Amino acid sequence: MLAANRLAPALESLPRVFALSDLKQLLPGEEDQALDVALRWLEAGVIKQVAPPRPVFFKLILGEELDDADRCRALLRAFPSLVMVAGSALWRQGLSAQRDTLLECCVSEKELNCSLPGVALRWRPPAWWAAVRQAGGIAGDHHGVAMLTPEMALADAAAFRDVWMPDREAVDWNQLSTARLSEATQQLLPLREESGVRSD
Amino acid sequence: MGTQSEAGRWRQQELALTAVEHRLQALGEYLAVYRASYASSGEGRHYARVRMLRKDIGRLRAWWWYLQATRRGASWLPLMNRLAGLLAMFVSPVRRAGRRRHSSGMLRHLTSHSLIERAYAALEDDLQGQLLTLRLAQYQRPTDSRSRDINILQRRLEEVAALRRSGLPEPRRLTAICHLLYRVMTVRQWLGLQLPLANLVDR
Repeated sequence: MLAANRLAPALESLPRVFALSDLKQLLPGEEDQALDVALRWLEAGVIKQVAPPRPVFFKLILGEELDDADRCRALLRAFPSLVMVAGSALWRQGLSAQRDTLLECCVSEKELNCSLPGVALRWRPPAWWAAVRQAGGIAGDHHGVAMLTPEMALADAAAFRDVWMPDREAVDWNQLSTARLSEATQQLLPLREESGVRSD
Repeated sequence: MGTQSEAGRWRQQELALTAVEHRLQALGEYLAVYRASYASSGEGRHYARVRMLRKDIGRLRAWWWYLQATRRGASWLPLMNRLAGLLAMFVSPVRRAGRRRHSSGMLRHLTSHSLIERAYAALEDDLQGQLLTLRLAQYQRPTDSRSRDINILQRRLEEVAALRRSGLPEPRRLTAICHLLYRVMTVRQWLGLQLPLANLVDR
């Protein structure tokens, strides 16, 4: 433990979000120490695992909440299949007058445990990514996180019904394409049937 | 003694397969997102990422196939090893600096050796992540069963660390194996034959 103390890099030298591999790079030749150092920081409550047991961490700083960029960076490092959905995607594309309280994203992993404040993860079946691709359903990215197009976000919310959406009157319907909405709905239809969502 | 070393080798192969499968899963997930992004935007940076990921996945699958064949004692393995030994002489000993930066920012080309080494390192990181979660829980609420789990995980971690340190063949030979089997897989795909593996999100 003494050796770990002596070799420990300053927590300040790491970004707000970091992986165990980043910590190992600060300890060249002493990679085993990284585990002890990380454990000591976890026990002291100065860092937290983004999504236990994944080896990605964020620093806990009193009075300084994680901003959108940090949350996106943390999620991207922990979940390769990450896509932003629902009201979160609509708000960030300027189509909703109501802001999301939780950043909602979909992943293919079934383990959805995430300690990041202000984040909600939803599971989607593997075929969902193919459906999104076929419908051209990605509208760019927000701090690196791929976002669904507004039409795809609406179709997805209707198909899975497990995400937050703004009130109807808060959505700018003029910016939505009926053709693209219909295409997105068609692509998600088989998944909707598979997931057993009632269509009435 | 012979049985013990046989069991050790079997265990190492199992860990190597697990490492490659985990990495294939992660790369497959990245690929699914980039393919969807490219289909939507048609942007060159997404296309470059898709191409690079496909290449990496192809080489990893080739290595997975080799590991499986070694485990099964496939009849074509001696021929394959001889060919790889010959081809290795033509592989440049200079490792193109390990990673070549691509023009589109974060993209990196990894040599086959770096790619597979990274897969083993990723498994080690994942196990260490699990160990940290368990140790933290044990620090907060100690239990006997968790203590046993920690010991098991620690042993597994030592095995993976040993695999990363000494479980890879010489880089030139490894490159030759990956490239040869990658080509064979491409031909098999052209012929409509079934490809070995893999459990990806959206190929």
